[in-house]
Amino acid sequence: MENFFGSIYCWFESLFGANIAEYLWGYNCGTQDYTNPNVFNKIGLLVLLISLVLSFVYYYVLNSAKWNRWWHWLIVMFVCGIVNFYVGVQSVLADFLDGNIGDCLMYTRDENSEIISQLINESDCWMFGVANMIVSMIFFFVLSFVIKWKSTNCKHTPFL
Amino acid sequence: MSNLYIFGIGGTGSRVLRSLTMLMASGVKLNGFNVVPIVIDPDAANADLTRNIKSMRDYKNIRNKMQFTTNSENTFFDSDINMDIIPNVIMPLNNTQNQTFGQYIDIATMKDGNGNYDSNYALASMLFSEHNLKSGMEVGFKGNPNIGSVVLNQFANSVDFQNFAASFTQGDRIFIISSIFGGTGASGFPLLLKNLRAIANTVSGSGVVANAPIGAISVLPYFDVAPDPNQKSEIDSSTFVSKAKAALSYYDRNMTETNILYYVADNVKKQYNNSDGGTEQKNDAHFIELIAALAIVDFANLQNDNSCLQTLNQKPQNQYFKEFGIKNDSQQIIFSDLCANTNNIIQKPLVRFTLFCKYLKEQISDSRKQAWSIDNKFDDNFYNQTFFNTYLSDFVNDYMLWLQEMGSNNCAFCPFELDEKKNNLFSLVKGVKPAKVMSFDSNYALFDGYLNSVQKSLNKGTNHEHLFMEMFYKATEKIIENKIKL
Repeated sequence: MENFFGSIYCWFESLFGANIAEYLWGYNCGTQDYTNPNVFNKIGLLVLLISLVLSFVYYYVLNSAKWNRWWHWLIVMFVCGIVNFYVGVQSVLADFLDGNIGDCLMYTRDENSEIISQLINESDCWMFGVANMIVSMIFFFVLSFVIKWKSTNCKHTPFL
Repeated sequence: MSNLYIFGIGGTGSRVLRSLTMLMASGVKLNGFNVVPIVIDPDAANADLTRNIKSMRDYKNIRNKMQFTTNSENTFFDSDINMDIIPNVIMPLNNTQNQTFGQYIDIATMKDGNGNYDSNYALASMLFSEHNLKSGMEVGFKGNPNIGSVVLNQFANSVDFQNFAASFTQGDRIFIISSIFGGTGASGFPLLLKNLRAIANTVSGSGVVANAPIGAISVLPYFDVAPDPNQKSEIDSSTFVSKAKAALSYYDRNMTETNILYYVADNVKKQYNNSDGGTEQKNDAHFIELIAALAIVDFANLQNDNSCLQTLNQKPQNQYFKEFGIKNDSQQIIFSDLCANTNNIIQKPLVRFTLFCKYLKEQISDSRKQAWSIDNKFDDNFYNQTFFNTYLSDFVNDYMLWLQEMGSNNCAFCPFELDEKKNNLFSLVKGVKPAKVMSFDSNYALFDGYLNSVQKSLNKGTNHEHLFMEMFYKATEKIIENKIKL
């Protein structure tokens, strides 16, 4: 269960790269083990919570007979995705800019400790935002089918 | 369940029955009575009659599909129409087609042995003008009650009248609708009353019929007809008032056999096209006819122990007379112009049913994906069945037409904004400002919201058709409770 969120994010590892994934798994360059906190869990829980709140708002607060077609639901799902894109980017970009990501994950160095190549770029942080957006939309989709059945007006949205 | 036999005589009789049918559809209660409509009109082709019968048949077909139980809240189409006793609704009059009145009474044979006209001929000549004797009767008696009083005497011998009497049981009631200013109604009412109270002992059920509670409404002049430019029409509205006066004078002296006699009249008179009858006689619905239908509602809702319903030896113990009034005299009558008692009977039912009809006409095709529709399987199969596709759709169209006709008549009864206003639906009751409700939805979306909400509490054990009506009844009730606030 501890690796639940990380496993999901790793489906999209090709988007943001293995090194960010390692950092988010909690890899510690000092101990050369996963002794740092698992950031996937923190971000994943936040994404899950945001998706839950937005799906709840759609099905039980808005609960509209006018806004219950599949494209209305899709709009809310995209809103959820965009919010979580921002959350994802900010979560990683802040650590990237503050230098909180371990050196062994950030750079390849020669024997003189000169940087040969940078392993994590700013664009990877943005791509993690994209992955976070996709994950949040998956959560929103699944949560919609879990909670929608008691909604008065939207129980058949997006379908079934 | 007891029957309320309603005799509608002439064109006015049919039009009042049409208004009653609309009131019943909206849910106005008739104290549990089944209505047995019986039309007496020699003009079987008149359009007022044929469209009324069509509406009643649609009503009956809709009603047949519904399953009223003790749990059912729905009052749409609550009262039943019994069409088994008089299946054709019309009580046929024989020998009125393709012959003149003179031929009907065999005036040519009123001669003595020498071939001279006899005393019968002299009497007939005194009672009937040459014009009367040459009159055809295919389209009624065209304002000649003296003809009607002879021809209509035959219906007591008809099979349908015998069937009516045989089916009559203790607890049943009779109501007679007629106008006083024409031919068929003015002559038919006294004759019918006489035939009911003095029904022959040999007729099965005669004892119960003779002592039955009988109510009647006599509709005084409320419309004019335009002068016929070709001067072919025999109907002259300038004689309406004088005929009404003469008939009232007769009623005053002789009509003591009704338990309750209602009168309704209007000073304002709409001028209709001059038509003797037939398919051209299609007068717009009028507020006066709605009021006349309310007289039937009033009569039906009297309790059995009410003193005005007691009859002994074919004579009412007390005879009552009732008239109708409104609160504000207006040419454009809305609900606030009516008295509280009237509004208590018709306002909510008409608002509910009008909301329902507007939804069916303006919205339902756009709401097929709503939860109420999907959950209850109101799909193509349902909408293509005759219940919805024919009976209900036709009835709804006729109901809306009925409202439109009343709204454009003079005086007008126009309590609703009937034009399609999807952005301002709940302003449809004139003079009533809709309340604000806590919802992101408005107009038809809010209506759909109420439908989605009430469908959870439906008794799914009833059939599809009843479920459909029950759901709309409950939703419209919620709209009235929360949004229109009547």
